[in-house]
Amino acid sequence: MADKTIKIDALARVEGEGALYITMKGDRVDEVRLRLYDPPRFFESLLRGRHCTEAPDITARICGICPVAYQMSAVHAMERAFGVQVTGPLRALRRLLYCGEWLESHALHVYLLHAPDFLGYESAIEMAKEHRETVERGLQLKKTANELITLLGGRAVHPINVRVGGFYRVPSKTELSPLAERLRWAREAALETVRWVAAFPFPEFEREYEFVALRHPDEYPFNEGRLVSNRGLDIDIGAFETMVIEEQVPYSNALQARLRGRQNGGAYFVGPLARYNLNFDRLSPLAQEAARAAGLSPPDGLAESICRNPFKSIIVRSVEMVYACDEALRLIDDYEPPETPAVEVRPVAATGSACTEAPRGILYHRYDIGGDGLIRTAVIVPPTSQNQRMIEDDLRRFVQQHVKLSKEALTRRCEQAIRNYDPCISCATHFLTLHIGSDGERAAV
Amino acid sequence: MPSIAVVGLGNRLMRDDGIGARALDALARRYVVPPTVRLIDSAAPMAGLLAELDGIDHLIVIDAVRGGGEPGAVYRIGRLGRAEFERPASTNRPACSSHGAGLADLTALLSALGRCPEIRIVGVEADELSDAGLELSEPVAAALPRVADAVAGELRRLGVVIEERKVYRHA
Repeated sequence: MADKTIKIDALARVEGEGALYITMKGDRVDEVRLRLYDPPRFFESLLRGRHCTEAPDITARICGICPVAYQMSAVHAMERAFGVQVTGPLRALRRLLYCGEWLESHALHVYLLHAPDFLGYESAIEMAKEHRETVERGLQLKKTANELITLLGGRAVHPINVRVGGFYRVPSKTELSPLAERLRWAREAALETVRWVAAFPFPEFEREYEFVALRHPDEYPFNEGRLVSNRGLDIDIGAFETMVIEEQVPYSNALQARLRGRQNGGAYFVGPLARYNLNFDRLSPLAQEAARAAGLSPPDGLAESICRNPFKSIIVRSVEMVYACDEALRLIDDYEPPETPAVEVRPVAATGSACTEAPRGILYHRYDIGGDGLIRTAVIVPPTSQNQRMIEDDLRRFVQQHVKLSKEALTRRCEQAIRNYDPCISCATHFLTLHIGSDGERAAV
Repeated sequence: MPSIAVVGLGNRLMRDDGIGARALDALARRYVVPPTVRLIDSAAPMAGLLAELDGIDHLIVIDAVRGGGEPGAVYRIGRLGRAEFERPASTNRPACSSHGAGLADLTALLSALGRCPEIRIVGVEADELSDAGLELSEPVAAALPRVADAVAGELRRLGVVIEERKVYRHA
């Protein structure tokens, strides 16, 4: 190749854009449409004909932020299909790996995406200039999580060590101990994070949500549990598709999910706030204490005292960071290496589904496997397509409350409201173009 | 010796968007890359690279580009100084989701923290960017050896001793 230096205006990424359309009738909000770009849909067809053991590595590539969630949903779905149960230290290591992903994802979202909204900065870049130490604390939290994922996942970015039945290699007890040192620092930093975000100014905004999350008999949920809600939903994951309906809407290539048999469209809320509200009693005492001190939940922790302000999800994410560190330390403390890095799995013709708690909410996978071990069909329902209706509902009310703001200010507030859900728009999209139209017209801003 | 990282940006599931990651594979097949050079495969710059770039002085980024050339054309863009790496107009608004944060967001943040590495880019004109698929398009796949050579060239310019393998490793 001849050396040549040329100027290119933009590096190309996969095309895709999130856009928000708001239609006004007079000063009433008539319609809110959030257009998302949703690649998981494409990947379902890509999985057909691949061997079932390839699913964790292929689906891990769907998302650059939460590859572990995709791996965990994939392996649990396969294992449920083949009647395999992964228990003991292997199960514990999976929880430990998930702790790393929550910590990493939450630190990134809390410090670099959401906090600048509350503190009035255009972005983390502006914030970093004035709050360097705080931003560095966030980066160190993320770095600690990266170290955990590197040890268990083989590398920090796109981990490669997870397989159906367990892992390819498991760590020794000695390898885990320097990590414990780092995690003890991270736990303090996470507590500091809770105190920091609890003092942010929060908009007065509460709604009667249906929160949906996994619920496990003893644990704060990662990989297992029934799917429950605060309005009586309580099902095995095998019944997911009978309760959740996915629909195409004309303005977005993401499918939208809704709950069957619900009034008002069946919108439901998944993610940290849902997990917290449904599983407060399963948090570690330290995480519970941090939540109470942050004014999130009164000491009685009664069901009717749940947090209904989505803007406070930033506090809940921070509390979950405390929990992730606390739980990781407990798991490391209890760890005894398993005899083998994986249990044997023999593919048979079967169907298996699983839901795990990705950082931003439940991630559902279903696979139909043939007798040859090849995937016949794959269904993936990511958290953001489940939250999409709720985001639109929030925005409809939120915009109505702030309709007097300038377009620029309104755009910012809408972005902040969308960020409450930490949406997985795509790993390669640009955000957010706001379109406000009046009397049925939509105009580009 | 300054510390150096080579980053292959992009998603392996999105055809030519995966050129960065696949070029890393090609580099390792064609050359013996000293272990002091970090090779990072990442689809999401902000999430994947932020903590990884601690202490890195020079960053070589391999990515798909739209440069107006023929698919498979290899571009060398370097050296981008700290201030020169401007956010392109298309990403002028801050990312709304951690998923949307790109290389420009990353470098802007690292600059604000006073530790942005010097960046060189090896770009490859993409053909198929919007379809899911595990295969690169033909012209882009054919460019892999040239991309690997271009990255090796950048490493040599930075003083890295990098040798071509006598027998290529197969993927």
